[in-house]
Amino acid sequence: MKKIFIILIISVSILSAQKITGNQLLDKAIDIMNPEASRATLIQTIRTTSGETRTLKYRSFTAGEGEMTLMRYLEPARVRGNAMMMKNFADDIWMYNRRTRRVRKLASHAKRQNFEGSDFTYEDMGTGESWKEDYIPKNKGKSKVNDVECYQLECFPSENANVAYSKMVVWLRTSDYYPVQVDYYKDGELLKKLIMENIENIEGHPTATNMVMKNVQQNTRTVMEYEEITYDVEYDQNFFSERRLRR
Amino acid sequence: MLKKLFIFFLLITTAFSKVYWFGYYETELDYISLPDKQLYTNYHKLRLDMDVSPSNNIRIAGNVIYKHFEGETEYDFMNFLPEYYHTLRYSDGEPIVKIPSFEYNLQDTLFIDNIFLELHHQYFDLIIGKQQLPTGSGYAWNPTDIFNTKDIFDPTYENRGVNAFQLKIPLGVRYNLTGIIEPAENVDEFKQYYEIKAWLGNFDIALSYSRSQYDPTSVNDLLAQYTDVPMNRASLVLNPAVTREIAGFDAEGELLGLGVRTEIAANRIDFNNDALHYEYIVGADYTFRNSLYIMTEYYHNDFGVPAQKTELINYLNYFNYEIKSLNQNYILGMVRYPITDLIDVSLSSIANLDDESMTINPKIVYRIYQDVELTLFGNYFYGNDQRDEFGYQEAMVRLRLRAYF
Repeated sequence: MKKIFIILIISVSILSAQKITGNQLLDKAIDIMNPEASRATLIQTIRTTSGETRTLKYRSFTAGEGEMTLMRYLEPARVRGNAMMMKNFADDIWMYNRRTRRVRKLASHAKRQNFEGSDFTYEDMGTGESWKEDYIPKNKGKSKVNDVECYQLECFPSENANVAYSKMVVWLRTSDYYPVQVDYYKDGELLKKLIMENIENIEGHPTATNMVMKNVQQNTRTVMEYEEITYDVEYDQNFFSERRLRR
Repeated sequence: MLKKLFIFFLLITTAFSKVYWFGYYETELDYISLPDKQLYTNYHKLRLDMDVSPSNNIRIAGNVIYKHFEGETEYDFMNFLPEYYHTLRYSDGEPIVKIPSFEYNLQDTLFIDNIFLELHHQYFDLIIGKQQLPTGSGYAWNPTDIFNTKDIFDPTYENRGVNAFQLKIPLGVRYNLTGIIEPAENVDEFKQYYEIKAWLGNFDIALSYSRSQYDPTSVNDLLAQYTDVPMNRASLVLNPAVTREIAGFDAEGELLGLGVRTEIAANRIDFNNDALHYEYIVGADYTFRNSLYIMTEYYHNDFGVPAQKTELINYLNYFNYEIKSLNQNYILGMVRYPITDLIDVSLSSIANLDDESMTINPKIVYRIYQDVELTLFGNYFYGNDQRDEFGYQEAMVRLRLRAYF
């Protein structure tokens, strides 16, 4: 009887060890999404509630596996030259206004605001690192998205987490844990859907060159695409500074 | 000579480098309702910017503004004040003389708003010319700012450039030293501002010292314009300009999830026995999960007068930007919400805590097209219409259209 019990425990342990946990999946997804450094030019095409299309273009610099980001708007004329810097995985945020030349330090709650009228919030555009603290991820097993086998990860806000979404469902490719789709829920209802398209291998890093965020409640849509990107970049130690933000 | 050299350098540089031209056109229709009068003014403004970088370390930028006014362009300042303030009084309230009018005209204008040269070196940045000089962390009030004035009903509107030399020395990524000098005719009149700014924890913190001239309009200044007034109490000796020194502190960051900020200015005016005059703000803001944004800011100003002692001279000091508020204690509250991806609505209120008058200020911003923005502002005033700061005017409505190119 004792032997049977030990065998049972060992079997359960082995089976458990084979199933990757939600936390492990989230770690792997964040790792693959955030290479050491990058420099990119991105274009956001926003389909507004009025049905017209607006375009936002900006230059993005990241380092420290997403710990530091600097973004500078190139278009449209309304925001050209304005810039934003985030450090500590967007816990510290600075905004620069080119016309007034003022740099303001913002509290992290500003991440919940929409990125220049697009369907992405600043939080959506972050590294996902804060998800580790703010959400409890659960591996819900495997399913297919567009014929690609994926892990389905459900994330619910942890206790006292002050986050924008009541639930997120993330699908990660089983082959490399790269996310292909994220569903965002608010008050239990589906709010937005992020679809990662055209996933290419660029300089050894899988990269979705097209990301589509659909707001299913407002019927708006934002497509974010890379005009150019490189991961082969090194920054001066003072690059992510207020001085650089102003230039 | 320096100006000519600068223009010559600008022409040579722009001839050999790619120049970016951009700017905006803005038109605004203003309606002001007073108890016995209604005023309409409209302006058209064209701002043309240029920006050129002949190399990574040199940048020249600037802009010109043309502004054309229509409608009511001749204003009498007295129309905006209740009857009590039409009489110049001593600080104890004794009347001296009734002031018939203070007229000012809105004139068409074309001017260089900013034009500056930026030089970047490994160890410093030097900016020379007419430039924007924002200081302090306050939203509606900046006690440490000696260069700019703010419209409390539209505090984020851009300021005029200031002719200055600015040297910024970064010390790593966390610290910055800044020195600014705004020249004047005499060295004694130079405005000077020095700051050390640090990023510590979740805060940006700055310590500053500034020195400028302080020469507020006095009762005697006004009496000098009205020679037929009784002279028994006024010597007509005008106060000379005096030195004003400010030791400043400001901090902006996050505490327990809230955005918080403070800005404190300890002023020393040397004719006043070295006594310190304090100005300070404390403020907080927060964005809720549904994108609702709330913000508040409290302002105290020792240079303001207690409400019951407010006189015409204090209004003149305020409207001449010699003091940053009429009375001493104010609070601002604001809520803002993006009702769609194209429309933001906000409601703010400014209360004068001394005379208990207030304004309610609704605002709608509609981004009609990618580079076209329509803004509708309202200001509704509540208070005692005989004495209070926000009691006499009834309402103001502004419709502003801005198209960027």
